[in-house]
Amino acid sequence: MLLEETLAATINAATPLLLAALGEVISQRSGVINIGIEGMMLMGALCGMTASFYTSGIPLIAPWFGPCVGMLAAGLAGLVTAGIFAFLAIKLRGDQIIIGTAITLFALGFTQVVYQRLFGSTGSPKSVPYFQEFELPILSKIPLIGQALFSHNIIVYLSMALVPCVYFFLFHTQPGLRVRACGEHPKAISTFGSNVVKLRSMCLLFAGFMAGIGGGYLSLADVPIFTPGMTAGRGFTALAIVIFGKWHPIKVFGAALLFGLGFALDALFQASGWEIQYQWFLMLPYVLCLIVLTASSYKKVNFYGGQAPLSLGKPYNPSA
Amino acid sequence: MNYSSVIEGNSHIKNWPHLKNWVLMPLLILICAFLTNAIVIFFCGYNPIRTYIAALNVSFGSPSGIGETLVKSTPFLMTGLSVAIAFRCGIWNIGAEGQFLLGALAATWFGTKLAAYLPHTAWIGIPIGIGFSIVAGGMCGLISAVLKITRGVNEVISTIMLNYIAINLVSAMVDGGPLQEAAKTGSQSNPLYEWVKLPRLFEPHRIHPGIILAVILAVVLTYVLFRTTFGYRLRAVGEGPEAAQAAGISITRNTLYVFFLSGALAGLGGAIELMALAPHLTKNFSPGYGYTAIAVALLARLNPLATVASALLFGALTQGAFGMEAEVGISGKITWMMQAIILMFVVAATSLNYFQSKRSSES
Amino acid sequence: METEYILELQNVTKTFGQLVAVDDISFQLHTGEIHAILGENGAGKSTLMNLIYGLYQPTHGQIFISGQLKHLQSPRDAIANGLGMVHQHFMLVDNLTVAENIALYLSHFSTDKKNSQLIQSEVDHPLKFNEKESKISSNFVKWRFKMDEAIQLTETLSQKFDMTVDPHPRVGSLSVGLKQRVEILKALAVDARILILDEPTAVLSPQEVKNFFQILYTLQEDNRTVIFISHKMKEVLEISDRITVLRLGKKVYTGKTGDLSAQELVREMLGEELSDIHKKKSKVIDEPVLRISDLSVKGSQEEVAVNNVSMETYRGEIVGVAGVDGNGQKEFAESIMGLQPITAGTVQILGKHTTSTESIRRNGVAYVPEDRRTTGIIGTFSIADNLMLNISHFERVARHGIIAQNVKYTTAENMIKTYDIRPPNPNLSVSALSGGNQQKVVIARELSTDPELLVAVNPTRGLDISAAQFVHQALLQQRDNEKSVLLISTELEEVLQLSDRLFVMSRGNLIEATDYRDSIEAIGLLMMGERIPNEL
Repeated sequence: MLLEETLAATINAATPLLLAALGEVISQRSGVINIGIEGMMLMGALCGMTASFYTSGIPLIAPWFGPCVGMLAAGLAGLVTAGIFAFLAIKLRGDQIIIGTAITLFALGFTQVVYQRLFGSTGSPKSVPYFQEFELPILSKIPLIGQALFSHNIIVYLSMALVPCVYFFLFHTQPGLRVRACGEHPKAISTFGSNVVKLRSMCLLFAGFMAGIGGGYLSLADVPIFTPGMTAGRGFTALAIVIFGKWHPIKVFGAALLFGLGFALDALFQASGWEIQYQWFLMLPYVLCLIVLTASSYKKVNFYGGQAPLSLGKPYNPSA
Repeated sequence: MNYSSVIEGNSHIKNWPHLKNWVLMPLLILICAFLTNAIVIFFCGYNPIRTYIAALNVSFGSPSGIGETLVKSTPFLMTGLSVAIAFRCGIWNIGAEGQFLLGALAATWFGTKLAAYLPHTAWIGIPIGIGFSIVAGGMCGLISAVLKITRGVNEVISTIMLNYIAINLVSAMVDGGPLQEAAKTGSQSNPLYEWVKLPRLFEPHRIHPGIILAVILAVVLTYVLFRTTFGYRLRAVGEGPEAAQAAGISITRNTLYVFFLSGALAGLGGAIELMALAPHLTKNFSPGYGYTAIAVALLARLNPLATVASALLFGALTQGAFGMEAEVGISGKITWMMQAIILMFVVAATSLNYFQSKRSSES
Repeated sequence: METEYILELQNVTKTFGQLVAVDDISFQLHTGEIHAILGENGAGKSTLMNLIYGLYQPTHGQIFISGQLKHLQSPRDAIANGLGMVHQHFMLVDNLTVAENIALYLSHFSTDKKNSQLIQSEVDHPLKFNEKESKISSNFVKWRFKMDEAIQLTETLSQKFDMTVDPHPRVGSLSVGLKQRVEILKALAVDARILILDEPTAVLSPQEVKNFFQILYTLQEDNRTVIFISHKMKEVLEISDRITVLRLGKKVYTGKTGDLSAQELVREMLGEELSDIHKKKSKVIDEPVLRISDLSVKGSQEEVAVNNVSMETYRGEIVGVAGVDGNGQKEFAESIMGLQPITAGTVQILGKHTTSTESIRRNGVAYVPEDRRTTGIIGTFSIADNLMLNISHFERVARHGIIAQNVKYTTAENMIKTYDIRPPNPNLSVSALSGGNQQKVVIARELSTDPELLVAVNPTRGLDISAAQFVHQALLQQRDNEKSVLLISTELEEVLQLSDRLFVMSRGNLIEATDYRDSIEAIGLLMMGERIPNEL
């Protein structure tokens, strides 16, 4: 039972991380390091919850409509936030680390202000319609793992289906080839006639959309409420997942599960009744990330370690 | 990652003050940021003019308001100095937040436990408490330094991770851990012993000697950076690591110095904040000083002396938030948003400035 | 087609502000010729090529391709009009495979009739793709990317032009010669009719040059036109059909190869005879300054970069190390300076084993690094700050770690005066200086420490003639002051002119070649890593 619960909790915790990380893979492959994921997730979480809250009051619509609109709103919120990032980092060629920090800071303030305006600062958080878990027929009846793997909400399955999609895009399509080249040698493809600014912006917008959805998962599927600062560092964890997964979608999936386990262990130990403070478990993923980085980085290769795209984090100036 | 355009024209104090770079540009950035912010406030359904007036009133409208603004500026100044030194020397320390917290944690450990075994006098208690915080913050910085030097781990990532480790460590210590108050009711530490607290200079205001210390540090750091070989080495490693290395300057050693110095400044900031203002260490001791510090430092063009002015502005914003929350009902967290918008305009201005200098050199 | 020029420039001028980089040049290119463009650095070769390639637009004048007036707005336009360029810095993505690189390039330029601007050349497509192949190549404009098709295309092309290129490895793992072939294949994949090769042999070993020339002949047989930019006289005379010489932005000569002798061409290039540096016979003092024994160093790819090298330098001599770029010279110099870890062997300076760059510097070693912009200077620092960028200067400028501003500025002003650094403003950011003046900053700083040993790597690369002569005089002065100089350079002429003893570095091995200094052929063989036959 314990194992099953942990497995299910792992997948549940891994899903928002995976969503955000898949977007980040694309954006980093194109050469943009987006450390504003945390902020984009927060924006997604708030907008998703708000949209679901306001659409749920409308009579005569299906109960799944609210969460779906919410998810879309979450993605759009992330996308718009990424748009600000793209303008500053790609068009104006500002420093990506600083802009990422600014985006996160902005989202922390903005979500707080808007949430307080809409729902008030007092009272319990508003609960909204959310994505219900459902059991896949037959598969969920498999002993031991059936319940753990095949009894989730629709977003979980969709996020997993996205893994091969992103993989296919990167390695088996022409645009994917360009994205990969863009992160390594933007000047080359720019000389050939590609628009690096546009390409990177598209990748970043996708990353923003995915981060928004990841945030939406938190407020529409994980727990159907919004609390300010509810992402609690998940955006930064997604960043670590991308590095750990070596910018490869399949490996990133594995990394997301591993970090999901970190979050899930919390539940496991609490369930087993051990007298350990919960903070240690919250700390665990970050310690894990540091250990993993230490083990997988190499000295003197390039700025972001071993296999990072060569031009990652470097603004591209088309006229120089 | 070279932020040379921020630094440019600043290699010599001789050139100071450039009216354009040091007064007009920051002013323009601030005006744009406040206008943008007003638009956001308006769309959130509040009256921006009333909001700003309330903020101004509370931060500068009375002696006590000005005092509080000074008090609130201090953590921004300390963490801002930490970031300015690090960025200036080519180290992307995003970890001032964690270092600030660990400094406060170490001071708490000393101030609520160890200080009992020492003579009960402020002349011993305060320096040792500060020493603890410097070591703790510096060590936190050194972790990233060692990871970077030995394994090539990028400090942006490692310092971010250490921030979250520090946040949870503080929480673990004061919420159920060994530093929790004796009553075990709230998630906070015991109050510090009296002889570890910083005195107040002008009762009833909260102005404390830490403010003066922070300003002195800003002056000293400016001098060290621009007028000593130590500072020269640090800047050389930051702005041209390969050239510095070829000149016989050790990158490894100076990277360690910068990380320690940067961490120590942030840690000291945590201790000052704790010893001067807070009776106890709480879970949410830092409302993101370490992140805001990036905005503080960049607005000051990474110059320690200019950081004083920039920190003052951020302190006023924070103090003003109380007015906004009380008068207009807007969440006090609006300050984060405003800080972020200022930061974005700094980035934009830097880039646009860069455009212009490029263009003029071409034609 | 013989009568019509494939490319014609009429009175093309390009100015950058005050500077006239290309001055009223007219120039015709016959179909199927190999046309060499000769000129010193700064003669306008690169600007001219960038004009043809669409990177710059001419201030005045017109460019005709196959008799039609073209306004090329970008390299993309140029490529669509049948131009291809192999830059000195390759436009290859190291992390992608050969096939992926070619596919990436091809995907930007369709050979499909409907979408392409290549329609004109499509009429007699020289690749003569059969049905299947041309279908493959048009597939690259679609969104799907099929690796096996990319591989097949690469193989077809490589066979057609007799270049043995494996489509599978990552480009980053290839040798420079192979990378160059991939670049050429890329251009051929979109059917480039005119290939511009910018200093293609600068990075090749003599053996690779031979293979490279073979490729050029194959291209010529296929009726393609080649523009070959170089400043290596011997190669130009060997490969080209016609030669154009540029000097200071102007065209000074065009003619058939062989019409002018090498000496005469040099005169056209420089406008004057090469002035020999009259050097006094040096007095070598029998005291080793630098002693290297059995030194081995690994390169960035963990390959053996320096292999078991032993040598000494003495007071009062310049020791020259010649060799083609990338044969371990960089690692050799850096290991002497303590910037590269040594795998085996020892480096002694004045009898002392050295440990760190700091101690090496303190023992009186000066260093003029190869890469001036990253290793020689710090661009954001002022001239005065750059003039103290050597820890040997710190004691002079600072007391107890505090920099004395007046001492700093007076020493800086002295150096600026002595070495004629312009503009003479110590507060100016060094990035505002020209390359030659930046190099003067480096030389001034390094020599003013009065070093026992000077290690100089390509000290005149990218400098104009007068600046280069200035550097040469400085090196000779150093020798005459009974100091020791180690000159590592890829400019063979420079090494031959200046050095008292001569070594050749090839594939990490160091061979003494003082006895062969009069035989270019012998030194050429050594540079190729071959033995010298007995008769030489």
